[in-house]
Order: sequence, then structure tokens, then C-alpha cells
Amino acid sequence: MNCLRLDLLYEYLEGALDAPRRAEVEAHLACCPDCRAAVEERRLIHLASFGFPNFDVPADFTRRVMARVDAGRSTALAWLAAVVGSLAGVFLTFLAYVLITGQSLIGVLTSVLGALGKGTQVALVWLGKVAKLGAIILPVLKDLGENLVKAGGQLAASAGPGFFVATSFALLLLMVLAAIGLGRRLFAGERS
Amino acid sequence: MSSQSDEFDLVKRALRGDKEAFEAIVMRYQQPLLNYLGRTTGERELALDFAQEVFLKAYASLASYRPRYKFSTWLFTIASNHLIDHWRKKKLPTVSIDQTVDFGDSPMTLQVADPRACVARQYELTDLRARVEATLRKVPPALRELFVLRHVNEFSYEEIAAIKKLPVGTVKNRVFQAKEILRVLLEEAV
Repeated sequence: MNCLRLDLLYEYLEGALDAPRRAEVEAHLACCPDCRAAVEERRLIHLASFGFPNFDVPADFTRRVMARVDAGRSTALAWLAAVVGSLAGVFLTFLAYVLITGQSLIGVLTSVLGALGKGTQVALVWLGKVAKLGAIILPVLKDLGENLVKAGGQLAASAGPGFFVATSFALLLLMVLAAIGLGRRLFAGERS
Repeated sequence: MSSQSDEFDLVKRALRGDKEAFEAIVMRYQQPLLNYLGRTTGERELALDFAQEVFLKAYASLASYRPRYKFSTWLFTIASNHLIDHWRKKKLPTVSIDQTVDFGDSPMTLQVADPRACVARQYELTDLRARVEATLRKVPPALRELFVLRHVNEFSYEEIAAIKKLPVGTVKNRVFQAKEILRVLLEEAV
């Protein structure tokens, strides 16, 4: 028999080999000191791989889990109630409309479904336009943002804290001036 | 662990809204689940959060449990998927289901004529166990997980194969590979 392969060695250590195979391995180990040494070292690591200490479970762990289970159930029930309530509301409105106007049930249903279909069509067209616009604008905005951050970083690295104080002051001044200007514009009618 | 029919009974009661039945399930599995998540992530607080999430996911999908599987296998499959999601988010390497580990082609082939001293013999079993425990954190996550399922949770290879949806042979090879990596890391640490 050749020297042991790893899988055979570990199966031997785990006692997973059938009797003939095990006898074959033991016969080889009896005459191969290298394999004996390899098996011995792995046997020790194998033994040390069992019996790790348990992680401490906090005393209130079960209570915490059950509290979250309860919260989840309440949320699910609230959603269910909201859905059922909405459906009931839609149904009652529909019923009231039919009763008050005296229109036929089929006629109202047809016009509602028609309006829904048209609305969906318009919404889909707009959604497509927004998606197209987003696909064009988003990469530009991303690049712009990245470049602004990069430029800000470089400026900060070269200018130091004095620059930030000056910039903050200028921005504050600009905001105050803008507020004053806006105020004058808004109340211009009242003064005259 | 108790019998499958007993656990299925608890599941049925929990599905009917019996809170105490699910509480019994939590109490039964919190320790093995925390050991698994703790040893695999290496972080107790994270493991506690994950254990809660896993129990909540299990509760939400209790109706999908079938008694032909062991409840522990079902629960640990949820836990394992939760870990895989976590590793993907952290961009840690996960071993693909199709990927096979072949000792014949890997550097993990048995070095029978290893000239280095036998590191394991230098320690008492308790010390060696503490070193193995500490070194386990350095084993790649996907292999560490299988090692933990086998050695900490003491699942059979067949059960691990069911949890991970992998062939039994692949599971065995990966557990052996994890042990070889551990051995090499222990030697390097000396």
C-alpha cells in the first residue's frame, strides 16, 4: 500500500473505514514511521477539535426573541387589517356609487377598468421617460459628485483650517444676504 | 435532541398560534445555534443578533417545514443562508456549490515526510484545544463553517450535506481541508 492520502487518514481517525480497509491502513502504519507520525499529529488535533466551550446565552435571550416574534405578529396583523379595511372601503364606495347613481353594475365596472387601463398606460409612458432621463443624468451627477469630493479633499489638504473658516463665513454671509433679499421681495407689496 | 415527531408537534402548535410551543423550540436550539454562529463569525454580539434573526425567519416560514427533514437540519439551513448573505454583503469569499475540493490537486495533499516538529505534541490537550479554537478564526469562512457544523455542533456528514445542499464527499473533503489548514496555521504560529 502507498502512503496514506489525507481523506483516508481522516476517515481512519474518525473510525469511518470498514474493517478490511482499516486493517489495510493499520498494516501500512505498522511499517511506515512517516505515516504514523502524520496520523499521530492529526489525531491530537482531531481530539482537540471537539469540546469547545459553549457561548454564553444571555438569560433574557428567549424573552427577546419572543418579544420580536410578537412585534412581528402585531405588524402582520396591522397590515392585514389595513389591506382588508382598504378593500372593504373600495367595495363600499363602489356599492354606494352604484346605488346613488342608479347606473348598471357592469357599466360602472367597465368604465372603472377602462380608466385604470388608461391611467396605467400614461404611468408606464412617464415611467419610461423618467428611467431614460435618470440613465442619462445619474452617471453625470455621480461623476460630478465624485469630482467635487475629490476637489474638496485636495483643497482641504492644501488650504488648511483657515480656508474652512473663511469659506464657512462667506457661505453664512451669502445665506444671510439671500434671506434679506428674499424678505424684501416677499414683503415689497405690503410696504408700498 | 428530542424526536422528530415531538418537534413536528411543537411546530404544528406554533403554527396554530401557541407561543409557548415556539418558545420551547427557541430554548431547545438557542445554545447550538449560538455556538454555530459564534464560532463561524467569531463575534459573540453579532452571533446573538444573527441567532435572533434566524429564529424570526424560522418563525415566519414555519409553515414550509416538512417532517421528513430533521428540524435541526431545517433550522441550520436557514442559519447557513443567513451567514452566506452576511458574507456576500461583506464580500468575503464563499465556496460555490459547484466548486469541488480535490486533495489530489491541492497543496493539502498529505505531507507524510513532514520534517517539521509535531506541533500538537508540544501541548496538553486543553492548551491545544484553546489554540485550535483561536486559530479557527483564521480558516476561510466557508471551510470554517463546515468544520463548526461537524466539530462544534457534531452533525453527521450526511446532515451537513443536507444543510449545505452539497454532496457528502464534498463536505468531507472540505472538513478535512479545514483541519489541514488549521494544522498548518498552528505550526506557523509556533
